[in-house]
Amino acid sequence: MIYMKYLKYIRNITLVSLLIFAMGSCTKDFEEMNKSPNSPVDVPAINVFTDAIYDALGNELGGWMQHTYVGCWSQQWTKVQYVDEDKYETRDMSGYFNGPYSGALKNLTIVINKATEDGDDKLLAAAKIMRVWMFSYLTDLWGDIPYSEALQGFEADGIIKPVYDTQESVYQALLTELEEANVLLTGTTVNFGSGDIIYGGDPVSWRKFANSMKLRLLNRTAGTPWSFTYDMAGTQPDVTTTPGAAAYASADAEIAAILANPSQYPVFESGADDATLVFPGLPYRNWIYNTLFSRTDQGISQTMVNWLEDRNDPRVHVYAQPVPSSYTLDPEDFSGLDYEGFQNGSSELAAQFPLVSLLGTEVAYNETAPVYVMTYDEVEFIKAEHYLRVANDGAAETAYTAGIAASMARWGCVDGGTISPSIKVGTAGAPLNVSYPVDYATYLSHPLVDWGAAADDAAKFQLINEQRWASIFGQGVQAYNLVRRTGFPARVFEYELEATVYPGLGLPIRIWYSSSEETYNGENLADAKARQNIEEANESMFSTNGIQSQMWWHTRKNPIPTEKDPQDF
Amino acid sequence: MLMFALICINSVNDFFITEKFFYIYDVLRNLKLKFMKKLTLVFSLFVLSGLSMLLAQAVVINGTVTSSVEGEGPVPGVQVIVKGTTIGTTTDVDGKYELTVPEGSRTLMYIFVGMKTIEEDIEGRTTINIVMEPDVLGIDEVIVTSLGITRDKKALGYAVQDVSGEEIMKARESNIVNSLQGKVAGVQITMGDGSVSSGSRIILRGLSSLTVGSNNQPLFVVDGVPISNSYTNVGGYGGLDYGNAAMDINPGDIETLSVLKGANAAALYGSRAINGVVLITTKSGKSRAGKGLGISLEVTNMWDNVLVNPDYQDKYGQGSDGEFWYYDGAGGGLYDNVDESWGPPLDYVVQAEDLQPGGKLYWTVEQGLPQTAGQILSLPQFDSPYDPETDIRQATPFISHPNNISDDFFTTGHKRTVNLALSGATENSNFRLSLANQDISGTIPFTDLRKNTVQLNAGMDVTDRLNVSGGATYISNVSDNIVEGGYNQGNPMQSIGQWFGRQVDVAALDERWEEIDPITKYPFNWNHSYHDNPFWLLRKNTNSRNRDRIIANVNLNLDITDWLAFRALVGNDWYVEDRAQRTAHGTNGDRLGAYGAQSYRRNELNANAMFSFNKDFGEDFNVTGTLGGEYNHYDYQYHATGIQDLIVPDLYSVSNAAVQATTGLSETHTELQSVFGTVNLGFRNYLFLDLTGRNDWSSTLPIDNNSYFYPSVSLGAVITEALDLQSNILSYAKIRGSYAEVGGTAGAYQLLGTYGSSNPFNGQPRLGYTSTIPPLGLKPQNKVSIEFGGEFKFLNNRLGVDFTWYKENTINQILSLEISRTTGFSSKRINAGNLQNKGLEIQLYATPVETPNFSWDLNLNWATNENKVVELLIDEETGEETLNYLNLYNASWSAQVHARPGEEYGVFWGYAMVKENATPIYYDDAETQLSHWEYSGRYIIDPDNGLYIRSNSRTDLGNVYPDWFGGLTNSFRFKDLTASFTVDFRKGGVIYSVTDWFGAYAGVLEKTAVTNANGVNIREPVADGGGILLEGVYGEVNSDGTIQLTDAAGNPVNEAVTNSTYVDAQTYFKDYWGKHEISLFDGSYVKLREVSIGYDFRNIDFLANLGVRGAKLSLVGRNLFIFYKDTPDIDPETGMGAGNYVGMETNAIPTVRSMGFDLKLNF
Repeated sequence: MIYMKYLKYIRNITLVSLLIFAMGSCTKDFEEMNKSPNSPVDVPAINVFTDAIYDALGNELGGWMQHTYVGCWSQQWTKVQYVDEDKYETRDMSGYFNGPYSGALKNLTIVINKATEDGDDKLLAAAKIMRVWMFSYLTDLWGDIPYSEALQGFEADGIIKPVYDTQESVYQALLTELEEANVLLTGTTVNFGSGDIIYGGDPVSWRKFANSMKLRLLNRTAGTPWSFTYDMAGTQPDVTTTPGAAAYASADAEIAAILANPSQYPVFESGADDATLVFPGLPYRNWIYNTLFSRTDQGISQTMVNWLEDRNDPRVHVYAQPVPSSYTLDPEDFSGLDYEGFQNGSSELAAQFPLVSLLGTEVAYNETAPVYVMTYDEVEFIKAEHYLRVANDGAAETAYTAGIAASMARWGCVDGGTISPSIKVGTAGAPLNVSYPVDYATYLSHPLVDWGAAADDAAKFQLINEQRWASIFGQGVQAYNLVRRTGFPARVFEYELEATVYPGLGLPIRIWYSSSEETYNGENLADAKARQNIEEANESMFSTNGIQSQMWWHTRKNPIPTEKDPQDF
Repeated sequence: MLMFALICINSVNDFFITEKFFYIYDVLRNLKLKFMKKLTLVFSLFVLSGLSMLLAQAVVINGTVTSSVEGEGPVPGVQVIVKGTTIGTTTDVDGKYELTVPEGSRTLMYIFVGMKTIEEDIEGRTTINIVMEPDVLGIDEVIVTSLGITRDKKALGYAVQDVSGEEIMKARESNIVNSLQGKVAGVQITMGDGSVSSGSRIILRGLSSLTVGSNNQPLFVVDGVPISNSYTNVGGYGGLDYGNAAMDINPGDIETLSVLKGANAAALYGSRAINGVVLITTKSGKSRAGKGLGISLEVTNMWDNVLVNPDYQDKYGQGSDGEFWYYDGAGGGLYDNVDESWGPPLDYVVQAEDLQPGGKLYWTVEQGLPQTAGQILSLPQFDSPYDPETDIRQATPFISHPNNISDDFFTTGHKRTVNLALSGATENSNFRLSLANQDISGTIPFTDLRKNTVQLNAGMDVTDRLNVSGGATYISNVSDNIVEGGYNQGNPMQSIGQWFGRQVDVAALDERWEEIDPITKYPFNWNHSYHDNPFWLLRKNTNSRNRDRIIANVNLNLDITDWLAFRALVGNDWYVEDRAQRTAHGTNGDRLGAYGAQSYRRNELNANAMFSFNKDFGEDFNVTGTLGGEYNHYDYQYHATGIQDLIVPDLYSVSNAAVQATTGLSETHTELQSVFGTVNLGFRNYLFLDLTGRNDWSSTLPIDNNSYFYPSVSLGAVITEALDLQSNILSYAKIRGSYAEVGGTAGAYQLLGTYGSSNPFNGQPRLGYTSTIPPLGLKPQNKVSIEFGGEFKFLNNRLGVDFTWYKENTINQILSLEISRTTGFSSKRINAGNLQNKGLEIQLYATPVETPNFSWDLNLNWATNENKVVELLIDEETGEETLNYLNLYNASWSAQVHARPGEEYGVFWGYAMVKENATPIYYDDAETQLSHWEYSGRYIIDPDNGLYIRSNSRTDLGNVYPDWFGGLTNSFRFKDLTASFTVDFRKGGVIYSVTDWFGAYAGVLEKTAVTNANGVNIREPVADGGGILLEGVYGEVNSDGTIQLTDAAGNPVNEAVTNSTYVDAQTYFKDYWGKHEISLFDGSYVKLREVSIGYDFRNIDFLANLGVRGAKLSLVGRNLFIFYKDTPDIDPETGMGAGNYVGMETNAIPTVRSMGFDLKLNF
């Protein structure tokens, strides 16, 4: 009897044990179990392109690099409170270098790979153009960057410590890529997909964008063959700079080739060709709106306001809001309407808001305001500068005038029309009950605008580039490139910021390299720094001999800043 | 039964809410009037036998006392005393006694030197036979080990420390993790901040993982069921901390808690136990065998207040450069958007000369705010009367409001806990039902937490050989509002605690919170640029959390023969947690409001079955062992919905969103299967050898690498028995040693690269590729551990010491190692790294005094751990380290915490102030790669401005982990009065305080308005004797990083010139920006952690008439006092949640001091 009982036990135990030990063999569904139910492993290329465009544009036009650093350092904008960054006191800037690589550039590379596989030349070309745009952002702010060995993380034994290519070689490669894109897009007009959030898939526009960008890059390397004298306080005699040779010798020849052959190299011909990103509203709101709707950290630079007011420039009503104290007393009396920019790098803790102008409502307080990637007016200014260099004064003047007109029109200042100042009420703009006439002829004849009044080519160079600086309002990276290369507007250089944390070093000549690169790609970075004469001091933004470590395309020696109170200007 | 208990709890609750302070009488009356009626009813229905006890009369009790030691038989001379009286007798030569016990006597005590004192409840018996055990701690101490196997502690070859449920309850902490503070050697607890729901972190023997995203905390196992202790890994800037899930466990249900510290102890729990195990056994009804139904009720009330409040100044108000007046709080007035206190003096009586050009207050005249000499400076302020007709805000006196944070903002927190348990047992079955209710309100107003748990444990011997038992626990853990921590707008400590105008009348913010500001049309507040009224914010912008959880287990034990048994266990931990964050209309930065809701479902099923055997071979050998398998399946699902821009205020629903809602959904499924076996060999009961082995198959590893085996071996030897050394001096000596490995697996879905999506842009989908390069040929990670220890007892066990030395290396870690972003990726997932923990744990206990009426016990534990980064990523070809450091995380504002090869884990990396001697430190021997500069000597002061000079690059500022830590508990018993005090301490570990940094920057801290050596307030102009003179010498930093000493004019000198340049206070404190060193402090502390004073009421007729068998009233205090700390204005213990982001404090909600009392009644 008792044995029967045991037998039952043993049978039951065996059954249970079998169940348990059988588990070891039912692990074959583990592979299936470990496939993510949440995220796809493969997706259509066009959806990746959408992500990459948004990401790419955000790096240059949307984040702190624009609104807090170079947008202010180029003195278009200014910080009106928490002014530390405007005194060149930066936070860690590694992300601005790292972000494009691990974000937009990686995804653009995926699009390029997929479009190549799919044989989609248009998407392939558009992705190449966007990638050039992103690489240009990188090289123009940092100089030498990983390019030829970059973005190999996909490959099993891809390089994980890419070398830094010289800025010169990066530029040459970017020009080649643009040429390839131009060829890929030749003769095609069929839309390649609405996932293209710049042009809605129009290959013709992308082709113009590619060639216009080529003009931008070529012009940047074409040199500044004039000398300029700066009115530097405390320095007698005033500082005169030497002409800068072309960094890329055939730049002007290539520009000429493009301009001479519009069918092979179509470029922007009107504002309709502009590369812009139009925001649909939440969850995608204009980037500066998204920053400013809840706090008021950015305003308009005194340098910009003074420049506009000196020329009776109607764009002041668009770029800035009037000083509150100048219109609030009597709602119908605008005789005292005034604009006052806040001084960049002020030693004051913050602006007194009733006494300063904030950014214009259409620029910064409109959640669907577009951001400009590259515009037709810039192309005209590039043409003007090129024609000036190649001594075609008539063509230069035509382009200069066309550039001004296009810019005015883009900013809503239509010839023969009027423009009204607008103020922020709540989180949106409301026009004041006053308007001012816009007349291009009057503007063009202003002594500070008039082409004919310019004393010489150097003065005309200044006219073109200051107009370009004013026109690309809100494109801080491009403005910063322009200011460093041309030295205009001179006010940026002619005094030292009141409260710079790096006295005697002037404007930063570059952005400091990523600290994570020091860690994870240290030797290559060290080579790049040594090659560019970058010293460790001062976050590498300056150099004790700043001229030596400036950009490759920055061939003209800029004046050394001197101590001077900005209030004198 | 359940209904009855709920009714009881409710009726008790009602009373406590209305009568907080004088509630004891009420409780008793209440018990008598309401409770007892029901109780008696229940008694008569269920336990008629129990009633007889209520009718107990004076009786004669007799019995025999024998020894548990074989062959010793009866024990003569044992003192038998009626507890709490002097009535007693001693046993005769045959161990017999007879004692006349007065009516109402409850307990007898049996005391004999060398034996454990026994307290036995009389419970109506007339014959009480007692078996006394030798008081040799450790020898016969049994301890719960892996897989719930109960073993003699002396047979273990590794360190295990257990804590009794009673000891845990002493703390009266709602989070059991905090209950262990200072109690267990080598257990490092980091409390979260002082909010009611914050998580606490428990680390055994240092961190084993190199990545901050990894869980370094031990596995929690309750009654054999591994349960979730998921926590919020609050990042470098802080955020909402939803706590750690183990806080659900009701401390009142815990019978014992064992901490299995090393890999050795945890080897059998496998991968998930790689960081050790906290093994919890809950109470059952077993102990009541033969005693009928027992009911116990315990009620605790604790009141909380803020332990450390920052010291604020009350001399200067809001503004900048000494100027301020309010218009709209958004820049419309003069610096009225500036959320700092660099404004005009407070309570300042205007002098006539102030109002002249150049005078101190002439700016008010210029601003059209004329003052009257002899009266207090008056300015328009946020709470001044406003006339909408003229748009004028009347000037009101600009006066100080001292204690506007400590008194007007913080409130007294309250924590009430009610534990009710019913238990009973028969010869072959037992049950215990417990109900607990906890209601907590925080020191931050409008924050709360409510926890209800119901637990039922039951067991039954089905046959002689078969036992079935099981348990189920339901937990509801609800917070209607959790305050946000860290550097966030939702944290009041960031606004009124830091970026604040010190003149602000906080009481006005409270009283007028519902008003709308007439100018801005936003909710009434002192600032409309950056902040919300905290009282408005805490009422309107609530963050809620609601967790429903069921933990259940079923056990089956079958004795097959007298030496072979089979056991199977199935356990499950399930919960659903809902979280929601509401942002009301009018919120600064989000004026149209928003709403986010998330739901987390988690289920973990665990089943194991094993055979165990226990057989003696001859006289000398004993062999025990197990062979079994385990199955673990984990499912997780996450849903989220977010809306922005509410159409109608205060309605938080998707249909009320002006913008299309965003949603999220993800799930995770993993499985682990295992086979394990153990063999334990015992020789003559003094030498013990343990062998274990386990093989895991994990679903998350590559299919051809997903099986891994790991063994352990340990040896324990009781020297005193082996060598027959036992004496009165050395009572017990044991040494032990072990070696173990534990394998570890990867997280789910890491093997393939995937695309992640963002919100569609204008209808166009956005998909981006992962930024982590997926691994190729991933292997399991491994932890190798060695430990040696010993346990010695002296002087008849009055003094004992237990120490353990260990070394653990976690190798082949599965980590995502950062790489150059220029590859297109931010990290690469690989096997790499070797992190070593080496340390010493010492536990010392002593009983300096032990008499029948008075005893004193002390328990000291101390531990040190060296957490060394042996290697990060070794180049396979050259065998050399390829990384200079690993950035573990970005702390606040460019500070980082690093792992550096060859150094201790957790280097705080930030900007220093340069000192006169600068030494370059290189990564490489060839000195080509500069790591950082090391500074020593006096501070260098910039001759231009009298300020410190920040280092050009970041440098090593210390380690965030402590050098050593521990606790000391003293327990006293005098008759029925017991008292215990726990002090715990920590040495070292730097902490970076953002409270200090920005509190100084914003001019709110007391130190920004003190008197200098000239006897003048530092805020006065330097020309008038004000300003700050920093200690240091003049100098500058050369472009190569070296230091050049200068004179006051900036000319190079060889001999240091002492600084004599005063700097304006605002300039100096603004210069804090970017200098981490200035706000970096030593995290050492000595704290009075716990005080508990209790009195056992026995033999009290009044209670006996109520049916109360025993009552104990305790006064309890937690975190009462900090004896020592280095950190100004904050509690150094403040952590950032339960995650791995340690070493910084960012506007922490101040920790709390708790005091209260506790009443425990047994029926």
